[in-house]
Amino acid sequence: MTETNRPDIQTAPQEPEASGPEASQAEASLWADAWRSLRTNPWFIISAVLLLILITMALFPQLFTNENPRECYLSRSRLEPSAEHWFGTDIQGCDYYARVIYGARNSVAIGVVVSIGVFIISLVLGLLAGYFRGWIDAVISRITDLIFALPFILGALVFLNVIESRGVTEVAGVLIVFMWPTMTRLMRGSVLSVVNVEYVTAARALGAGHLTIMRRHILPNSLGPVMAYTAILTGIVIGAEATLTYLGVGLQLPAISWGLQLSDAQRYITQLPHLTVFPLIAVGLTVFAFMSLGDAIRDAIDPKSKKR
Amino acid sequence: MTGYIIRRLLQFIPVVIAATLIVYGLVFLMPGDPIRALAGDRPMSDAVRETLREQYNLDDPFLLQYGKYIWGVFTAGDFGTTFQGRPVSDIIQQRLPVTLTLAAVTFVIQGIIGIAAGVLSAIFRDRFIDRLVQVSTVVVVALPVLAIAFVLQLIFGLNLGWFPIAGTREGLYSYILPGFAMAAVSTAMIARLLRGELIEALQSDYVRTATAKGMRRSRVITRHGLRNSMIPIVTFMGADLASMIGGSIVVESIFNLPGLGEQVYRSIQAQEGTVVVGIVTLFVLAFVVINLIVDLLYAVLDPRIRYD
Repeated sequence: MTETNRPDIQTAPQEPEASGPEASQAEASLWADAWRSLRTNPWFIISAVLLLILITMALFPQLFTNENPRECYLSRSRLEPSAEHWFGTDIQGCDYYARVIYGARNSVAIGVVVSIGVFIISLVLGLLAGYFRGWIDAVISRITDLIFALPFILGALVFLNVIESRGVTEVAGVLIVFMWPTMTRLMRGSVLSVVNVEYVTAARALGAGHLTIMRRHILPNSLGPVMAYTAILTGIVIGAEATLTYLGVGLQLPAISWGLQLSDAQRYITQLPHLTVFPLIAVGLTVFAFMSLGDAIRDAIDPKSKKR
Repeated sequence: MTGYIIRRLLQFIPVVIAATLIVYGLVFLMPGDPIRALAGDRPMSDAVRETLREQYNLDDPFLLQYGKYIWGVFTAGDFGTTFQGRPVSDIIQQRLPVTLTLAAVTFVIQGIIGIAAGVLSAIFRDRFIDRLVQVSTVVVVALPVLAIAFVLQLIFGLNLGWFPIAGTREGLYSYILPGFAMAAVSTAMIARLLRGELIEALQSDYVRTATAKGMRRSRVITRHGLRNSMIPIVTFMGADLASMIGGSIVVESIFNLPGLGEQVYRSIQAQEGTVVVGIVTLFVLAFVVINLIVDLLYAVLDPRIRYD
């Protein structure tokens, strides 16, 4: 794409929106530049709007529907979509629109909890491995190798199956176990790329301690790729949760979840395809929104990645 | 070269052992007493129970059980017996062809469509076809396999009726929809990756030289551009086989294909621990071997790489 070749001179101090009084010039212009490129990226706008709707849906489902998703009458079972029931009703006669709306909460909760957990673990372990190298790096890298040797869905399937009662916490916990290695590697890589730069050597020569160097110099300069990946990861996690729940090892009834809706609907896919269609659209749009947001952030932070 | 292969194999032994040990341990932790499950409602004499426990090594300490198992796998290809007395290798033999066919169909779809789309979009850069490829890959990459599989099943199987939606009764034809579902994300990744690589290669000096010598454009693209852009694609396709293993569980369950993935899922539900361990061990081994082959393929594609 042509706009990637924007000369760097433009990124100079024109916009003095520093994130704090101490924020260095380079930092401010990197994020300001990223923001400018984000604003004009149509994918960013689409995914941001989708996410805004989705998060509102997860926090305040009442805003979208007056129906109670747990109020089910067998007398209105299996209705096709109509003006009264936009998405029809399911086998138990619950309003399907309300079920799908209320399903957002569990998905988003798991996505956010896992991403935050993985983000913190990766930040710490990646920083330690990349900065100190040596045995810490060796131990962390071997553990990531080990988890990579297990195909993710397979591992999670076996793990979750051992847990008898599974709620958001349990599913999120198992997903964290399998998700941290990728991001830790990413973090380690970006730490390695800044650890030997002149300003780090200079800081060390001036007598700065490990903690100061990591906090002031390494962390701010290696955060970019990890931030972008966090958004992508949220999408991956939500997709994985729906998949595992669909396979019967994720969330359990009476939880309201898109994965459970899909797995219930599959038996009726020929007679009542609408039961599959609506949760499917919900999962698809949600995962899509998070992943393209991450892509947009990555492109904005590192224009070189755009060629991929 | 031989030395390199041996070194790589030696490196992988601990990874394989640890990965299989984890799975073995988890299955070991599965709730329920397998002997009681085997007996069902009939009363079982203590003597029979003892013999069975002896036969399945259930009284040995955990590590010894695991050791006996892994020894059997590597020396005799013995993946254990189900509690119904059927050898697990039997089940594997029966199910493997389905999974291999699915993997082969997926690989062909990925290779043909992914490479074609990548090449076209690099050659016609910024023209309509390139935009089309770019937009569609952004969308496809951001969707979970689960969603893609259901969408294909609903549209091309149910609505249009072009393909069967379940089972393998129609031979290779029944693998087309599942194959596309498995291949979709990777196809899009390959197209994007190849587009970037090829655009870069086509701007390089050796391509200009070849063109200047009067070589036909098609030959320049295939011999000079494409060959040099294929290395990351091969890496990607190899690494992707791991996600294919996870994907096969989901896709085989959705399309009801009697392959290994679907068997794992079924066996987990039925608490058939030995089957789970057997298939997972096989998957892990396959994964390791594939990775090694991919590494060796580099040397063929890029003569600059020598393993000594």
